[in-house]
Amino acid sequence: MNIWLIRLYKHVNYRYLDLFLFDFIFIDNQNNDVPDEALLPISLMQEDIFKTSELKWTLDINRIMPNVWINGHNSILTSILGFNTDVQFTLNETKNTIIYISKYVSKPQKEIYNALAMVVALQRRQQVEAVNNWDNNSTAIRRLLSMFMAMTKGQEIENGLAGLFFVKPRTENPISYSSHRFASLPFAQIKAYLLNEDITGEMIDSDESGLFFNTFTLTYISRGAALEDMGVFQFVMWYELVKNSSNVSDTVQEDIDGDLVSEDDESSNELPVDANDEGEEIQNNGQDKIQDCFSLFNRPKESNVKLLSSHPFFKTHTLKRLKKPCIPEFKGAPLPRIKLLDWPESPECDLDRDEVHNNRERYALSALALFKPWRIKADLQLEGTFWRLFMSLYGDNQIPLYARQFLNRMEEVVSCPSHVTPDLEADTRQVTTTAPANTQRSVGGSEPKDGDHFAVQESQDDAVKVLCSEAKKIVDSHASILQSIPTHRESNIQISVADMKAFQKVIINGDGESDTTFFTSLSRSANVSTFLLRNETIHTRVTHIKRAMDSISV
Amino acid sequence: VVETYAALIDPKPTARNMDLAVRYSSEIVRQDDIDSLALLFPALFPYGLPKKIDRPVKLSLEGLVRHLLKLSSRRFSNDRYFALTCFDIIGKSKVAQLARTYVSAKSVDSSKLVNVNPAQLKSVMDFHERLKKGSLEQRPIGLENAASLISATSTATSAFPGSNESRSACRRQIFSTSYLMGLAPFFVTLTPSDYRAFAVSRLAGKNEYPPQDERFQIVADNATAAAMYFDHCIRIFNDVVLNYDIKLGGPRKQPGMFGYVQSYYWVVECQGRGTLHAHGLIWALGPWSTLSELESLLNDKISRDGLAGFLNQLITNNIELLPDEILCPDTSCEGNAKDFRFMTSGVEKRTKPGRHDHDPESKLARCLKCSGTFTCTEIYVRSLQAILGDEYKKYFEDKEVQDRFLDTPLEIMPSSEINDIAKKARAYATLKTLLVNKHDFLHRSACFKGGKNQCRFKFPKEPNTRPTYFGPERPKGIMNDEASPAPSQSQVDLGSLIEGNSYFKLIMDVFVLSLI
Repeated sequence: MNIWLIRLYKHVNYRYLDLFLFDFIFIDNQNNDVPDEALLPISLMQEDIFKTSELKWTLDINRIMPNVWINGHNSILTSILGFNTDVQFTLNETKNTIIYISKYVSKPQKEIYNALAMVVALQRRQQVEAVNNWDNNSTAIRRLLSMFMAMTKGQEIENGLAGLFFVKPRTENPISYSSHRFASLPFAQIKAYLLNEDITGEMIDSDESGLFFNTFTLTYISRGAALEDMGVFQFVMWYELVKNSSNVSDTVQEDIDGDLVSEDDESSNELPVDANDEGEEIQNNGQDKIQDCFSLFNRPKESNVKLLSSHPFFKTHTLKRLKKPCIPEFKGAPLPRIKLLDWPESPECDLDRDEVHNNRERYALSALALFKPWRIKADLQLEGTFWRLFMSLYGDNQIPLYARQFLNRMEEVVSCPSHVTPDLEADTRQVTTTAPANTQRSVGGSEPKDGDHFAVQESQDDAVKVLCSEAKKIVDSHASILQSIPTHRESNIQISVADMKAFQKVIINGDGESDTTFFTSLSRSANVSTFLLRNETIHTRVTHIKRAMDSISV
Repeated sequence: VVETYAALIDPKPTARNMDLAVRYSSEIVRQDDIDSLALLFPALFPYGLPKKIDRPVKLSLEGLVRHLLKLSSRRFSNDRYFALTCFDIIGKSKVAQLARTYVSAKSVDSSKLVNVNPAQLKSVMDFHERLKKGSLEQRPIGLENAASLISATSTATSAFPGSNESRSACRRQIFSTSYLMGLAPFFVTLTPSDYRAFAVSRLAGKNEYPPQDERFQIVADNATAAAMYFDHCIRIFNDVVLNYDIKLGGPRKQPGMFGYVQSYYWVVECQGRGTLHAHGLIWALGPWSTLSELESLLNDKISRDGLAGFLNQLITNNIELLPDEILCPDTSCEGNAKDFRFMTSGVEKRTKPGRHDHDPESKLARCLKCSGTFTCTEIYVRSLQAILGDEYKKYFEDKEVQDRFLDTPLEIMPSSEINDIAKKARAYATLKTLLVNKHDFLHRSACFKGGKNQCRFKFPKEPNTRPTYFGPERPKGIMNDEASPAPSQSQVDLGSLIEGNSYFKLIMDVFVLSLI
């Protein structure tokens, strides 16, 4: 292998050099049974689609003496609104900080002993289940509910948020305001479909429960011929599956199509951004580029599209164009990191060929499945691989700008160390059909220590013992804290300690029902996970309950 | 009686025709179980509710509560427990619904969820804990069932509004928006002070501005009124300040305060006191689409200065008085803002919040002309006194006056005008800034959250007399005792912001209207 050639490639940022290199490497590696499509560009970091940057620019806004204690604010907002408004420009920070801010916005409120509470809840649940004779489904539902109770234990919701829940319209998310609606993009499902995994199981018959589960992928691939040229991403943005209104038959539906279009057009004639308005900021040759950027937001022509007859709902449902575009809510693991796509011979890569090959396949599959129109798997493949088609499209400059930007931005977000995949469970399954030989070699390569977790074979009794000792530790540690912290902080901690004690009792006695009434009610009142009243803390509630109990017993 | 009805009486109601019902929060109530509501709140439903409401269109519990909370008698919304209890019931029934739907799907194998023992669950949770801390290990084999139980639980919990799981759904939406629009350039926090606003008292049924303690009481009792005010503030901000047309789904032709806004996303949170506040990300349209494009844009000096100029108008670190109007507290001295220097040596190193009677404000400013040292408050007081006379005192001392003042929108004058009226307007604007946007020199416990040894927000911040600057590095030590470059005049020019933008008038009108 000619290492210097690869170095040269890395240094000379020239796209077509890979074509020049191709022959050499191809011949070089023919004996190794490595598929040739893996041998396209070695280092991708220089390609414009994959290029990301770490911002180094910082912003210093003028501050004169004596304003050393003044927050960054907006004068007009302060003068008019008269409450604290904090305005910050985020892009002058490092990328890590920007991601941190994005996450800060939706930070979880405080958590107290969720893990332990859930384990204890499961323990109690199993005792109840042993007595009753339910089938799997109802057991699972009941179990999920008690786990939910345990999971939200210690999470508090104030009166104000409850008020907001009733004030906001029902169609909106009660805890957020957004400019766009969001539509689900079940990416893991699409990938599973393309890799020939079984997803037909999601369809259930309506006879028993009256529930229908339709898979998104099925809807997409049986979209009408009018949407032949639409990728998954745009499809999610603009179309939803709606039931035909009952009094209109199929034939009439077609006739009134034209009317529907004109109605739509009247109501929303001027859509999103007038990019021309800010021509000063953008270079003259940028007009086409802007058009391309926003082509996702351009409304498609067809308002109502029929499903193909391969879809089970094709008689009852239609694809209807939305009045405003949705933002696809990405469900599933993001695309692989770009640095995992670098070919092993590139100096910075420490993966081996099979891994890189798999990563490249995964990446290309994801990118193509999102933006290239397809109906069957073969639409996304060239000579049997995804990567080869992706690179050939890329080489011919056929990947639209919005797709390139999307991939680039996703890489920007995902490549941050502070970004943790939102769904830990979403994409744990193997994406590749052919498992590579060395799956054991994890990226970080740290083996779990023996004492770190419970062995699976460990008996249940042992686990309970460990739980008890842990609960005790927590109780003890907080008893000492409780003594040292005076006043209002006491209330919150006290409840969790009492809670723990109650749990401990239950576990040690092995009997959930024979507890004293006081402790039961106390643990129940602690169970009011969402019940912290605004001016009246749990502490006072507990005293209320105590008093009530006293009066009853007297 | 009302105080204890949630806690009193029979813990296990059996008969259907009882007089009073007690619901524990661990119970799940069906959402169509409306008749039990009357039993929970006998004081609010003296005649009860019909056992079975015969209506052509079925009314859900949520619909009923929404209706009751908006009644003009305010009987329900003024009840401290009604909204919260209903919220709890409805939230839990939503979770139950989702759990049922989830389990009924054929792709979910419910036997998987059943065959889990506590030890497996514990080890999976430990594994997740380690993952959060940055561990890269693989999940131990044999724990698939426990993992699916956890993910099923969090899926079900996400139906509960305001739970941590519903917040992580918000996070997914934020990142989805970032994938489509790039990283958000602006981060805004709005904290509408509901206890100060007359609008809240008005919504709760008062005709006059009540005294402070009563206002706190109102906010605590009538969560609906506070929430309506909050909702109004956020919507007005989106509509007027961002100038985003939610109906058409895009920015209007006139730019808003942040320029053309492509998208925004607010997440609502509660403070410890219970006041709602919202953190928002604003995707304003810039001439860049990715960070690497922004970087190459910033390499060019003209675009760099242009962006810095725009941001300088948007964000200010200064009070609204002009540098000439900030006077030296020594009445015999003629020094103004240009003559003050920051004394780095005067900065106290704090590790916990100070106390009013113990810790006086440290003297951070030194006047070059009279070489006296002063606290920042002394300078503000002297400058305000010169313009407003002794009137300024009542805004600091009298809480009632202060609240009324902050609740009233001010008129905005262009800073280019130098006459007495403009001067007074600036002084009032400064008063608001000092009351609302000044960091307390004693710090708060929030400054040292997470075991920080110094103020998390890095106050007091060193002055930077250069005009707003965009550079590869933060300039250091520009402004202390030694170095003394000429300070610039670049105050925020309100006038230039106002020109061509009518939003400030609109926002004033709307807010004044909301008070009437």
